[in-house]
Amino acid sequence: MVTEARTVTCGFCGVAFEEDRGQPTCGRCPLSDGCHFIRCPSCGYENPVAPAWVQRLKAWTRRTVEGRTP
Amino acid sequence: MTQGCHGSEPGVATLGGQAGRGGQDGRAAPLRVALVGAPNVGKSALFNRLTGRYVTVSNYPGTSIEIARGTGRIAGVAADIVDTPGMYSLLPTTEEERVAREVVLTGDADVLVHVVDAKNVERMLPLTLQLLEARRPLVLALNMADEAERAGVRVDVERLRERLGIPVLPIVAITGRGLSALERAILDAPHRTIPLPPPYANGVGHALASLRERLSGVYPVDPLVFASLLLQGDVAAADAIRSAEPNGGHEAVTHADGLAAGLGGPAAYRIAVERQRTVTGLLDGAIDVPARRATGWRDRIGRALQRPLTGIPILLVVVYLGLYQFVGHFGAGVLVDWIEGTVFAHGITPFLDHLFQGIPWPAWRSLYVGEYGLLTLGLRYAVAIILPIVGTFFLFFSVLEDSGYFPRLALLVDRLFKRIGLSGRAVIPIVLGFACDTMATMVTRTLETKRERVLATLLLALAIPCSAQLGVIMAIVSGRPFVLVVWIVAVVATFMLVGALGAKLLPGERAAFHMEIPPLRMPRLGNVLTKTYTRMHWYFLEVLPLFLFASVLLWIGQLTGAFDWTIHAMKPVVSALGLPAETARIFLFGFFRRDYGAAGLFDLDRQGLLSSAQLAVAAVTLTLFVPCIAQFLMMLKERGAKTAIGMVAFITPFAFGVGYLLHLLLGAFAW
Repeated sequence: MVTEARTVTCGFCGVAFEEDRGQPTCGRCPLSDGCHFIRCPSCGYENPVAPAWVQRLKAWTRRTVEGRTP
Repeated sequence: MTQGCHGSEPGVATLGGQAGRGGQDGRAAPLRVALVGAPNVGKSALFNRLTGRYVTVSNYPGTSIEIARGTGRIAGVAADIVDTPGMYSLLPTTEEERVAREVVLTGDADVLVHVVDAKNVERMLPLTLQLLEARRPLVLALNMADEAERAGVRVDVERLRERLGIPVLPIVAITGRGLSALERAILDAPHRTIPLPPPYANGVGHALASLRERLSGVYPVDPLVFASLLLQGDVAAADAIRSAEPNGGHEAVTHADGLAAGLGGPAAYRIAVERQRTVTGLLDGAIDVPARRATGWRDRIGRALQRPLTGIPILLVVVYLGLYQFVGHFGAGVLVDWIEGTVFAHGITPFLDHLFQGIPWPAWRSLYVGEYGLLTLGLRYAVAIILPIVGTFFLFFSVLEDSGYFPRLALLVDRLFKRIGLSGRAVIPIVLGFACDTMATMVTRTLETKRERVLATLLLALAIPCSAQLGVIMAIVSGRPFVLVVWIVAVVATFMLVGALGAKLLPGERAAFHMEIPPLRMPRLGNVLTKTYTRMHWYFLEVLPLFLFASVLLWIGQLTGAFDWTIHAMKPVVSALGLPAETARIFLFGFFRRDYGAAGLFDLDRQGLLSSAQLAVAAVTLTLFVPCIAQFLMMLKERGAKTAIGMVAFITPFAFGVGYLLHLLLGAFAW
């Protein structure tokens, strides 16, 4: 299965970066092990990343809408 | 800055004589290649591709910055390749940038490869122009070309190559796409004519040329780059010029001062503006970015947000509508009233009481449904009080974030922050602190100087309430404007006072602040809801176990009598603040989490146990109180045990001291 890499646009500085090229923060925080945040490589701002089910829902919605577009 | 032995004469536009290393001309010396560029553009991925296994990582001489060197074959020719630390500009603000610049300015590399993110070319090309000022063989690699294509960014590589006069190649370092062409371009670069950098307008180009003409010493790279740095006030460049020039460089330095004064603003800023303008011109028709470009009204609003005269009133309106009305009235009023007053009071709590009646031992029963029960206190605080407040706060926060307001806020507060020894960049952790102080403390590591990092950590621990606490405080004060005013004045005054004192006591450089501002945009509902959900999800997962843990500790304390003893021991302190004995409990809660304490305060206030003055004193003291356990652990990790413990030792008595002073002050005015 081919998976599409997800691009995150930093909520602070606006730099676009691919999710797996940001700096994951999980494991660095002493208490929050399973958080969905990714740090912008440019400014360090922590951006929330949508959980997998939300991303799947978005992708499904997009496909459905595009499928209906003549 | 190191001085080399080979000179560079004005007007010489080629360094082709240095080419041919690595076997082409029969010499054994390998081609020396340096990869330069901003952080996280894929330099290391390219480095790994070019070098394979033969890599050494060591500290750059005289620094603690690690630098990777490796050997490999570039288009079949032996090469030494160095991967430099991330650098945004040749005018450095961090130790990493100093090291990367050093690699460029020593002139040791036969070829510089500027690696940029193909999706953000416009932001990264200013460094290309600076590298051109060094007049070294240069190749521009547009990395992550696949991502750029997916994002709809189209770069006319041929046109850009023609305009810059250097090889420009789209690559995907991680997959190897385009690397053969890149390798050929690297090998060919020393033989190519090195172009002059494009001229800058509005006097900047003339100033650079004029200063460049005054430099006649021997430099490892073209003196133009030293002239540019000197004009921007770079101390290391001035030292290098003094030692390189036959007359000690006095004339050049004086001339630079005069030229800088004539630029009509700080030279570094003026040059950055003209450089960016040149980049925009270079890219005109050479790049197609499907960006949400700022339109006229967006530009105007964006500027209004950044200027103090208009930005501060807008900020106050945003805070009033967003925090006071939406979070305070709606979240903490309407939603909490319904969830706690109806769902819990008439549904869940009676059901739980009934359910646990079956436990014959009262002590065990009270663990679940007692005064400090897991379900009736821990779960109720987390779900019925904190969650609706935090949910509305995160919704408000996500709207601001998605609109592009935060970077404008950073510029707005830059001047204010400078007064307390911070740059506007510190607004990133400070803004994040309003969501969660723990993650904000971690983000302080991105600040440029140690002084800034320590100051920001202290201010986060002391005077920045996290989302939950802020929401609860807003809920408490939403019906009492007097308490709100007292709370804001006390917390802001503390922030400024401690910041200013800290800045005076802590030695170190004041950091400069440069930031590119993304376009202002209309928040997208999908983004806002996703961000709100993700933050709430994370928050709930973190807060619920802590609230339950605190409830268990309080239950144990109640059973053993330790809780009553602690409350009794705290009574003199609480009395000194003019507060009823019951408030000792909320400070005890606050030791676990400030928002847990704030929720306790909210509970007490709803029982009508506090006057306005008492509420103001309690809210201010609790806001300034010790950070939560998670934040303290992060402080230990980021700043070290000595600094973290020192901060807590300062904050605890300081918070009560401010509360005491406030109590005296309010009492003196008979409030």
